Amino acid sequence: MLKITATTRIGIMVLSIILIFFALYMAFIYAPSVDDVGWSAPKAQRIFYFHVASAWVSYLAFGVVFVASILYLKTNTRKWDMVALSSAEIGVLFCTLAIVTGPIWAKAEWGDYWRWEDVKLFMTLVLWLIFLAYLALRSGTADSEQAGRLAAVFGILGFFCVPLSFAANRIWAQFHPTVVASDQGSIQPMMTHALIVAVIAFSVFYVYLLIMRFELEQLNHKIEDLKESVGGDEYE
Amino acid sequence: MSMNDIIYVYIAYTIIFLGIAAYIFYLHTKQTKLTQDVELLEELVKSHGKRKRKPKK
Repeated sequence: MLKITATTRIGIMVLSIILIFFALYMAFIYAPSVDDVGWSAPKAQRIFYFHVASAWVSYLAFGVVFVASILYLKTNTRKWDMVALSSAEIGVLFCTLAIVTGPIWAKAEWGDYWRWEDVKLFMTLVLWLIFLAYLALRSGTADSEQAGRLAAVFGILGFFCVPLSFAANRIWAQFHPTVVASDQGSIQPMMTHALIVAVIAFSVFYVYLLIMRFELEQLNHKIEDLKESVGGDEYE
Repeated sequence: MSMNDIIYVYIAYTIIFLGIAAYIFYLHTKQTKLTQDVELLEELVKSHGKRKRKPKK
């Protein structure tokens, strides 16, 4: 099983805290404001940095679920199932943050929280629901090995919504804007720097959360093994 | 209008950090409980092992 030393864990935690504060500085101070011309709510644009970073990390987390699920089905090694479950939970967290902060910005800028006809918004919601169902599946099934295998298939299939969610606004330009360079005009370089820092900060933080959550799964499995040693009915 | 924009920013970032803080709190609480469960079970395993070693009368 994976063993991360306390020093490494604390180091990653401290690094992620520093990077998040740096990302806040970049988002609020370093990055320039958008022009008042062409923006209804120019100040609200600063939601963009952590909103996009949340979405990217959710894609990363679901990507890890995809890879870990394949490895679990291939090797039948419990470790990969634990990684997949841990990553799915964190992915749902960051996807939730993206889905909540996006409409807040949308309301400020365009007057609408949500537009169902926008493919990107719809696919991101579907992605979120799929992985919520993944977590529900894991918590509902008594047989952990059966749950792991079913969830692995679910995680692999569910991941295919990630590229659809990512690319939807590039294929069907609708409500949701395109982030990086497009025909509609690219973002300023300093804004790109701030965005990159936010993405890196949240990615490092994701690694920290994954370690923490994985260690919880290790404890869960230790409890299962100990219960078998004692005899389940003696422990209530 | 531009002063109202900033409220949206505060709300969004507050939600982000509250969400993250809530998840960390959940992880910490669960870790504490699971660690206690492990310690209890290890004690039970030890005492179970001692009972098995007692000579039969």
